[in-house]
Amino acid sequence: MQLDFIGLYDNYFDDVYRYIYFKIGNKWDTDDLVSEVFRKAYEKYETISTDHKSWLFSVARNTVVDFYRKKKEDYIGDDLEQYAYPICFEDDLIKRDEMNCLKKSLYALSKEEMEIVNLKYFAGMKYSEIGSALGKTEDSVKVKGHRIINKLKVMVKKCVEG
Amino acid sequence: MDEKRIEYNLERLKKEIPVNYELKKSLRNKYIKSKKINWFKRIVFASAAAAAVACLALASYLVTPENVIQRANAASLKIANHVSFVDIGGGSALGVSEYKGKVYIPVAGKGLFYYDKKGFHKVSSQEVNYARVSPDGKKIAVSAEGTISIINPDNGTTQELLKGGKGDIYYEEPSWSPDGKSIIYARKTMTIQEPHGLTEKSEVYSIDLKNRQQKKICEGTHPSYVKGTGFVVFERDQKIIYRNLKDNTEKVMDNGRFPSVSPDGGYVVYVKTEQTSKEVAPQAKVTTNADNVWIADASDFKTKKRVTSNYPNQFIDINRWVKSLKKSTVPQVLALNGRYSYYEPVWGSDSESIYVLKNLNEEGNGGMRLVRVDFTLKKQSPEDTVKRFLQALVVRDDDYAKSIMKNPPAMLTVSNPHNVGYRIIGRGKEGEREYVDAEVDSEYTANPYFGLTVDRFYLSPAENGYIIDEVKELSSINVGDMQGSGEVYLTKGGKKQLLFNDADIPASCSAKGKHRLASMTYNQNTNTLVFAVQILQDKKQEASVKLVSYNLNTKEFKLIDHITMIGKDVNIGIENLIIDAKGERIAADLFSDNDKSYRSYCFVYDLKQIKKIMIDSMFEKSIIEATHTKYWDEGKLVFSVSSLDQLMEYVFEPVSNSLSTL
Repeated sequence: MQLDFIGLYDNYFDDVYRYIYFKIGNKWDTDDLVSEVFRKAYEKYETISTDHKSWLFSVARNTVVDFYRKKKEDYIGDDLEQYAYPICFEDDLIKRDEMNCLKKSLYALSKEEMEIVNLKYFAGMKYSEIGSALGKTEDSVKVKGHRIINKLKVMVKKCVEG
Repeated sequence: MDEKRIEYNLERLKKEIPVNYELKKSLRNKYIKSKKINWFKRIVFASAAAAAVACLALASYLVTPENVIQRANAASLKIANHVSFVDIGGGSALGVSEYKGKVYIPVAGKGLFYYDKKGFHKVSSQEVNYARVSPDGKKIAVSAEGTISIINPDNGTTQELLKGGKGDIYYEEPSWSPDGKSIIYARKTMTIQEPHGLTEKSEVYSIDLKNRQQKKICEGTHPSYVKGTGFVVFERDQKIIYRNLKDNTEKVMDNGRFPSVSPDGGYVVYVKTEQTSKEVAPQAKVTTNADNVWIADASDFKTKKRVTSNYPNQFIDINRWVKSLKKSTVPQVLALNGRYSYYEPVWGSDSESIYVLKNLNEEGNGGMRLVRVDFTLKKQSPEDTVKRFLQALVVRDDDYAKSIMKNPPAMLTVSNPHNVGYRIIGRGKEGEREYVDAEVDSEYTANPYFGLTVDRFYLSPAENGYIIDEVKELSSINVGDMQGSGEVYLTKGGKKQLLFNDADIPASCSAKGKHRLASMTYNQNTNTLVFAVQILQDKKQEASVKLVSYNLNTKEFKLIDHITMIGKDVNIGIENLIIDAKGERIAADLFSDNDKSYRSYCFVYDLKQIKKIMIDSMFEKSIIEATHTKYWDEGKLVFSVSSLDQLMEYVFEPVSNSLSTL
């Protein structure tokens, strides 16, 4: 279905912003990157006729990767993702209640797992969209997603019970 | 803490991530000003099937196994039964496995269980999400969180075989070699790929159980050996591929996923997604990508058969969509998926049934069920067809019922009144047309209503045997007091007759305080009405239930039972009451209002001997959370059991006092 750019912007700005903020960890870089994402989207979006959200998030992910590359020019390697996800929540990770335990447990996940949590819960994407954005089948993402929730459930329980 | 709570908390956490609304506003203004006016042509996204796979050496793939067994080809197998017998509740796809009547089912967070006629039993508390029983039934290969282990089903002990999950290597989808000496599996790794991010690579490996040597076979996933041949079947890029282990040549057999071979090496079962397309208006079409389960001849895929049916998952009204479209010179496409998704089909140990997970793809309402499809060479008779149809109506599997009808109506069943039983009473031919007559019962949950219709089902020959092309109601009987007036009427052949009113019920069968007539059931053979008097809670009494029979010939009331307690709980209510074909036994679902979980208990009464059985007591060492009646199948009671978020179906045979699986 056709969507004009402002519609795309209004619908997905918050999701893109949260996705990038969770990944980058600070407001200033996030502001720059979000602006960059929508600039690119503005130039290209008319050529995309399906699943705008997945496409938009592919652009967002590429933009973040480019950002890492520029920042860590001296780093030659394939694990740029290790720089992602510095802790961005208010620090009260000492109290052992559900929410704090969840935050702690989130950061104990692997980067790939956090990526899926970020896309699904913070950016509000469906598994089919995440599959498209990551270049994977919807089923494999769904299975991973469920695994992750189970993992979090176990970790949070352990943390809360002390 | 369950999964929903985690998801709920993640949603809360999302709100803690701050969005810069100032930026949002200022950036937006920038775009409003420089809005482009030209609309360019949109490139139609052709959701084509996968890219072509390089054609490898096409050696002759007509394999003749060492011992040629005269086996029927896949296309000639008929579906004897299509039964959904376990409700897995919310959750992801699992690998189940069956061996000689025991169905092994992993339960997330709880371990590995098996379901058989004695109940639902735990094998191991180890976290498992995929299980495969060895050909000799003595071991179970399982995988969970990237690690493959072997479980001994007798004592539940586990031995780790391949440890993964950390360092991003996952070992999954184990499958046994026919001699039980090695296991073939998928070794998956996550890699960062420029410029996109993360991709998962999967390779097929085998491991010798004695010397633990691992060997890479090829790239791919979900492998199985094809018994009696030197082949391995696996999935790669959504295609089913055969690989000859001797010369390493490969051939693409079909599009699909999750290939699994029958233990006798005869057939492969897999899931295939196919696209259909329909033009709904000029330059507008609807495409549906739907899954179905297929079986094929394992030796050469010469014949194939589709085993399930699927329908478009229409989440939007097509006409509304068409109206919302702007004029375009380029075709516009509405892409739908199927109403169901199928996962992880696997053969039973006798190579005559398959088990598959079927998920209903409704937003926020889905549910994963375990379905068994039984195959037979016998052609389905007209009675078998009508029986299956009526069973589907009773369990409200409308899609399956419609698949056996030529011109199914849009709506087949509703929640109330609903079908609770059936009996095939005759068959014949009208000229050239075959027909089957059946009595079909309906009831209205917890209300005094019972309906019986005699229907004639006309059938015509079809691929699987027969298909129903017309249904004619021959007669009907209604009994009840739907007005709540306390007067019970019988309506037959258009004539209404007052049977009795509340005051006529003797004191022994009723109560002085507040009460009402509840569930009701009727048997034509014995001309007996069995109903429940729901005694309501008030100052002088706790709620309880009196089960009463009324003989329409003698006009006699008889008290069957007065249930005031279940275990230690009082305040009893009744939900369901059904009578068997001969009028010899009734089954009732009772519950206690004091029980916070409102768990339902199913009781069976023998009306002649006034004997009573609580169904729960029939199970050994199982965790039963509730039992519910479903329907009588000619003297056998089909009921469901809830256990650990799974809903399973069982059959109780009162004459032999035994249980069996559905």
